[in-house]
Amino acid sequence: MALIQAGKMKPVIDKVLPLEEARQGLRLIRDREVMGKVVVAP
Amino acid sequence: MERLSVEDSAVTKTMKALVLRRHGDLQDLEVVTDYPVPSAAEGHVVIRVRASSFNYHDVFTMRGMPGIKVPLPVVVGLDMAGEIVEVGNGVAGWKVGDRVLVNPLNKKKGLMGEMLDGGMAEYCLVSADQLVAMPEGVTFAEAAALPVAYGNRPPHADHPQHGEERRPRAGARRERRRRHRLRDSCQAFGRGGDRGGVERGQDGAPQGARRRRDHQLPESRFLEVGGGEIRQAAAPFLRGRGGRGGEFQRRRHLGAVVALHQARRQAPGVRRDRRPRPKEDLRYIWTFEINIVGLQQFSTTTTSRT
Repeated sequence: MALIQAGKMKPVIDKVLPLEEARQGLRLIRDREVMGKVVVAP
Repeated sequence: MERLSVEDSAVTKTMKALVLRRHGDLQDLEVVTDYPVPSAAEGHVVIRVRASSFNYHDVFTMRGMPGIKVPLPVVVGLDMAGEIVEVGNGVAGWKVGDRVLVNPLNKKKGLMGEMLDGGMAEYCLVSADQLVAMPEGVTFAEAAALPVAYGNRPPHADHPQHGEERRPRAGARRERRRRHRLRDSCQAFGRGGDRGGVERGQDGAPQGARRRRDHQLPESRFLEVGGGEIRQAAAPFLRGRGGRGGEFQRRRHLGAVVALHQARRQAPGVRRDRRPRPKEDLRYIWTFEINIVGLQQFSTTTTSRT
């Protein structure tokens, strides 16, 4: 996390979804439709 | 760590959560609004989840993996970050309001979002020893994207800088060879089954595979986790070692559970494709990406390293 803080690393986040659409998020991972992480914000 | 039941509290609060009721597919996951909010048990905190990220592991949990009995229903999601809202007895060094990332591995019970309720909910009960403080300037989403993905990165991807020339770290070559040996010998396993028949040596052992295995890894490094095709492929190789006619033995390599893999058929002249094909064989990617092919196990020290 210090690397992120220092700007040396950046997690690749493809999508941020609300919890209501979390199932859709897992489908994206399952079907390999994203490049990067799918983050859910409850 | 008991779940708060209705009897335990006069006012049981409920929350939104993504709940898996039975193994299956996406339809077996449901967003509910009546999941009980956990309360902080001894040695634990409750966090208000601000971000939780999906991993392929969540697909495994959804579908169910051979040999892993998940207590259902369960809230999925093993990567999460949030703020502490309640601190249980016996917890030192953490206070309400602290921004934290959660190490998904609970040392006593297993992975969050699998053996324990995970991050796809408004609140989550977390053992204090799984907490990692989040520095200023790191967002919840960034933190939640880290644990499994970063913990499982290949060793050589250890944060290189752009344009930086990197020398292999000590032992890197040895590690790479070990991975290749492991992979080769696993494929040798599968190949016997692939042909439908296996050439036998004098002692009845399958020759092609044995030739490779002899100077590679002992068979005891492999685990069969069940499944007809894999079992068939493995049977000739496990003769006389508890593998024939009965259950395959649980085997471990470097402390990790290891599964057999059945190699796929390849057209003549086509280079054997060694990449995992998770859609075809979940066990393959499970074993090879997470446990064997040199991908480091997740640990707190990895994440909190500065």
